[in-house]
Amino acid sequence: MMREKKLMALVLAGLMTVSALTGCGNSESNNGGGSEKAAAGTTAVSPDANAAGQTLDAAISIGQTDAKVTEGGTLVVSMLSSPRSLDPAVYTTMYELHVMYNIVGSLFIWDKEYKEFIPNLATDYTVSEDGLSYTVNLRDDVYFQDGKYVKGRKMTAEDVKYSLERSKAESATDRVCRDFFDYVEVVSDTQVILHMTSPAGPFISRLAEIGTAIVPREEVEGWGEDFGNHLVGTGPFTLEEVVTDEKIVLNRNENYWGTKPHVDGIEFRIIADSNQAINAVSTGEVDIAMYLQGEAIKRAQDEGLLLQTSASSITYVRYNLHHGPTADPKVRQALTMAVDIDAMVSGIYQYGEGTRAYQPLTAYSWAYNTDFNALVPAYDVEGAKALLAEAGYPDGFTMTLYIGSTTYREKMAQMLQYYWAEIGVTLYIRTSTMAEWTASITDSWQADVVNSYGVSWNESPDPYGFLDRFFGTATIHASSNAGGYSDEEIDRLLSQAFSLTGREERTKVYDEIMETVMSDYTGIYYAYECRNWAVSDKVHDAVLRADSQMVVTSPFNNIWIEN
Amino acid sequence: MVKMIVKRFLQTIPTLFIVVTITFCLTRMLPGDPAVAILGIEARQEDVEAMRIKMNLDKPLPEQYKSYLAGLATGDFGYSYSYRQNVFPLIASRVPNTLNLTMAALFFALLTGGVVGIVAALCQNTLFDYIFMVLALIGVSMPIFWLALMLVLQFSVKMNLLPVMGMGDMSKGLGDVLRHMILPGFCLATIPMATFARTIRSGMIDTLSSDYVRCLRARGIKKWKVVMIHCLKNSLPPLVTVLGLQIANTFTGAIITEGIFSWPGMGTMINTAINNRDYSLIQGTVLFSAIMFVFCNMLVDIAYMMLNPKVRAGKG
Repeated sequence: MMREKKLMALVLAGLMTVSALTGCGNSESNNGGGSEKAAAGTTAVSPDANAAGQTLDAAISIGQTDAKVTEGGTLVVSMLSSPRSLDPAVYTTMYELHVMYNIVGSLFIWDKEYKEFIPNLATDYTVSEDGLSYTVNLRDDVYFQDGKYVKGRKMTAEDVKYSLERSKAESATDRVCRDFFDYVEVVSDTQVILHMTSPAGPFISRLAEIGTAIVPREEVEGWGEDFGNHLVGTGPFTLEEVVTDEKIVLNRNENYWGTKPHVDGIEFRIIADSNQAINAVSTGEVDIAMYLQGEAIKRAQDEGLLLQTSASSITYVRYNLHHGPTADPKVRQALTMAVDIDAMVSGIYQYGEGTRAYQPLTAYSWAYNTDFNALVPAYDVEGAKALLAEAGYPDGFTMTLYIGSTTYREKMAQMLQYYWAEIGVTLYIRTSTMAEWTASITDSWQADVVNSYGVSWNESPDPYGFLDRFFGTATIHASSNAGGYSDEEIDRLLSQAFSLTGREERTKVYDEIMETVMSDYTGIYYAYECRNWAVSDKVHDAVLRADSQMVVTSPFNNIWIEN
Repeated sequence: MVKMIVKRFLQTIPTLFIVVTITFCLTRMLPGDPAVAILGIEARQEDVEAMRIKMNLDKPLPEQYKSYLAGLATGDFGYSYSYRQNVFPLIASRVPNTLNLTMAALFFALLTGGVVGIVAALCQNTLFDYIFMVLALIGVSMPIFWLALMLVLQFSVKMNLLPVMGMGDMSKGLGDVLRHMILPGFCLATIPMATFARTIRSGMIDTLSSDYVRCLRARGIKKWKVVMIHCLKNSLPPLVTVLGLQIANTFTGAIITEGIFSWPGMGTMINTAINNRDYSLIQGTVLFSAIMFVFCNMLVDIAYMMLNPKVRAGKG
């Protein structure tokens, strides 16, 4: 009996070990085949924060061979979460954008490099000397898709007027610079004048966002609140079917004014787990998996499925500028000096999906000036300790860092905890879901509970999207300026840069702003993160633009699938 | 007996009432603003306020509670802002998907668990018995998340036998739906399977060693008849109890499995509801789950009564 029991114990231990090893074994066996597969496509070079005037090369998928273009097939794309309302005036998340982008059209669209906007429904525009009116010429050959209330009607200037004014009036989020945009004047069927209450440099780039897409009045008014489930527009695909939490089916629009899509349709599938998304690409059930994270990126790389482009974003940690130890600029400088930022970035982003940053602005912005990289203090532990002592904290202090509960933020927080411990600062990390994080940090500068917070910020490369949101007094109650930065002179300069319409003049003013805010040590702006897609080796011409938009058919690409 | 059934049914009402109240309070205690969850964090303050009024969130809590109860009484479970539909039809559309998966999983679990349990009991203390009980232990302890991903890696990615995720399409035939059901069904079945095996095994061991079995064998009744007819029937009561609990548990616990396999059932809906602070939907699904639990418990009690004459005759 005793002998049998000992035998059973051994067998049990053996079974446990075997089952544990099976888990490891599977992931290693993938590495073997990786080096032989062709790359999924040209991978964009991550931004070099020390190189001026660089352009973003969007990554493009090339499939496996130089096969001839084949027509037909359905492109299956997976997303992490279900879109809620496909209404340009109501949407709130990226998932909605991906679907809407293919159904509706805006006056302009961003080019492949996400640097300039190119004509789409508009053909060209001119802006008046005083910046108060934009004359926009429209295409003459655009038709709406068939909906319940509109049947292939031609799009005219009236529709542009309706859509832009609707966005201004009804959208809860500001999609059209509503405090500066006044109204649309219809000159003819193919010309409008957009009138401003005061000049706004970034306004014209807003017309490349889906928030200002042109929609037919009959459908909006006919469906009312339900319009978001029955989107009708002028784009290359029509909305066929929405099955919540499951899929969204789009069919090719045969009356599209632009390039005819090669694919018959698009199917957006909702797959919440990154690993499952890659599995589905491996088996061919899905053609493109968006939003890969963590190990899924390595797996995609090994299997030759990875497409990667740097995002137009900045990942950072910012300090409470009004209360607590971080209210003292010397303390902030010391905290920044205590971190070996290069090492931290390579530690967090082990698969090349993040590169070193210095400034609170994307390196792809036309206003980015590499001179200011030097304003970030070098790694110097002794210097940091000395500064802290000078500031009155020779024995250090305790502080908190609030982050969302994602792998990248948690890794960053742990590294900061380590570096700051070296100078005597004890860091408490508070993680939560994004909704709770936002609730905790908004207006946190008014007390000393939140000493710092970390997050990522994405915007189009116009510096207004970064600097105004980070350093303007107007956003002091928003999550983008939870540190509480407020300075009259900076506000004046920001308004000035905002109202100018010429790039060179705006850059001069932004230079002044950047020099001041960087000398204030408002935070550690440490990384540029990448967008990562897994793309099947049958897909050609998929472009991973910096904003990770699912662009299927456009002036610069037209996805096709090998048979 | 009918009187007892009616009495059990009436007893469920105060339970459900308490569940509704506790859920109501708990959802209101969640940090995060539902209006902001719907409109986005960049929304204007005025629009957030207007949304709150539309959602009746500006009224004092007791008043919100009263209007919710009044709605329930008339069959109105509220409106889901994250799905833009009324809660009741929304839940009703998702329940069949989860029920299909759960019932298939439980059927499979009962069959395999039952057979394994009976055989293990008959071969008590042999190698077969030990091996299968250890496997049962592993089945209960293994995290479904890990098991699901391992199975997908093996059967879908490497061997290309089964689909990675999704529910399949009836228009492509029943075979397509069944193929999609195999992996998630199996994952969901592991815990019930193990539980059923162990329960039947102990029940059978108990009955197999009782006096009347020896009597039956002495009278010359064949062994398989003794086992399958007499012993099995008498070891059913604990199994029925466990089955009732497992039905409710599996149904409400399918969240993880549904999430991994993108199975469009209650699980994904509950996740979305919580992330969006969709109070009406959260309350609706919790209430529905409570009703399921209570109903299953009631069925178990009734089945118990039918199986055990003592309970039928004795207590009232």
